[in-house]
Amino acid sequence: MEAALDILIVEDDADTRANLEDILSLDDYSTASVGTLREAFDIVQLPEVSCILLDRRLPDGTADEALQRFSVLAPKAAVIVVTGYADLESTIAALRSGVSDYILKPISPQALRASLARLFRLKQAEERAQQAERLAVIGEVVTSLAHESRNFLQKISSSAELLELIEKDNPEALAEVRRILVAERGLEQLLEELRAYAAPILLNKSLLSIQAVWRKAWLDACRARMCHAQLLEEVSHEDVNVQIDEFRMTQVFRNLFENSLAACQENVEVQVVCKRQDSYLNVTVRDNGSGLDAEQRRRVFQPFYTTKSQGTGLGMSIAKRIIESHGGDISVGNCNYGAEFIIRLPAADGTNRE
Amino acid sequence: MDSGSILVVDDDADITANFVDILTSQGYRADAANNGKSALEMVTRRKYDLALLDFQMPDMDGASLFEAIRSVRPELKAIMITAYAANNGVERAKKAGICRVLRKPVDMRLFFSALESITPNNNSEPV
Repeated sequence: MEAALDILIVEDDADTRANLEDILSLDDYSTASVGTLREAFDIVQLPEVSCILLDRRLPDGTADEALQRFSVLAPKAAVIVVTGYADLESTIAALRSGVSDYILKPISPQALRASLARLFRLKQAEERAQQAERLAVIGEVVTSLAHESRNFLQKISSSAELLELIEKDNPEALAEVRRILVAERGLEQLLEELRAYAAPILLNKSLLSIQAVWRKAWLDACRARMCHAQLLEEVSHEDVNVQIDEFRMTQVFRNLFENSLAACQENVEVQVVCKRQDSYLNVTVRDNGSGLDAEQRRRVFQPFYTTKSQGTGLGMSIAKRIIESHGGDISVGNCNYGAEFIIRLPAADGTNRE
Repeated sequence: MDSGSILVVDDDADITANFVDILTSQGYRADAANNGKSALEMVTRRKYDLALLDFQMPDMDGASLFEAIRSVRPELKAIMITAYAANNGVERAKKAGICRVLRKPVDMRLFFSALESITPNNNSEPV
């Protein structure tokens, strides 16, 4: 697999190209650079490139001519034209034909950064809007599917229960009936989780101690799994109050804890570390289980991805959606034993209060 | 041994048949109606201890049906069953005076414990 590429630089002047590469690598963008359009069109990752920095004049063509090719070959890319002052007027005219922005030579790092930041913000907002739209459509379909299915589930379960009464002296028949009932409950649970996954997440936030929330989730998880495990807490910030939806955040922690309890064999230890970082509260949850391999780390937040024999694999992707709708994020940490997840939530007294 | 009489109302005849069978097996007397109109006729004709109402039916919803039933039989109690996963309709049903709302597929243990707490002659024994 080719490495992901954020920005493609198409610039024939070696100095300008080096200059652009320097600025961008400082900012942690992954870049590739070429000196001609022909080379640019051959870049393998072109379909996934987010941004193309395109010199106005190139040895084998002009930016104007290249724009149409790029709109086909790199549909996700926003094009920023790099231009000299002399060409400014025609570049501005080109803005109308699919250019997102332009920067003047000599390139000022500030101008480039501002332009890219604007562009990536816009892209993120677009992606979020698309995701929300997709989920809304899926949500409607799943809600009516779940609703319609419940009438059928009702018939299956009540017929099976009747059969249980009729066949109460026939152990073989009873065993079969119970299998039907177990399958029926499994299907019901799947539909319920699907519905919860696709439903819009509406938050009912209040100022709460995140520690109280994870403690409640811990008790719930231990009770559900009927097991004894140790919870180790480390809170280095005195104010653990955050604006959160109690029910939803309990769901997130419960999910993490249940995964830990399921993954660890015996002497389960789950550690929760709560630290303040800038205007965020970081809550790290780690366990002493077998941890996540590279594949699991990459896919853990994907819907329907699961390593457990039971469960739908929706838990972690719901957790991610819940955290994100709180204005935070969740990521897999780099613990060298066990699994580690880091939740970042805007602190109540932070500057990014909603 | 008649431990209570129950009217089961659902537009799906399989569902009412199942409930009637289960209730009968537990010593209750049970009748079925498959729409709001015939349910109203049946409560007018005879006295029931409890109505089991589907939330959503083609001719009228469970809450409206219950309001109509109450105008004929003010003392009749009801349990509603709903296929909706979310809580829509629960508030309205409670406001109309429906004692319990259960989700489909109905957990029979929950159903019978609700039934026993609501029906007056609390002497139901399995036959």
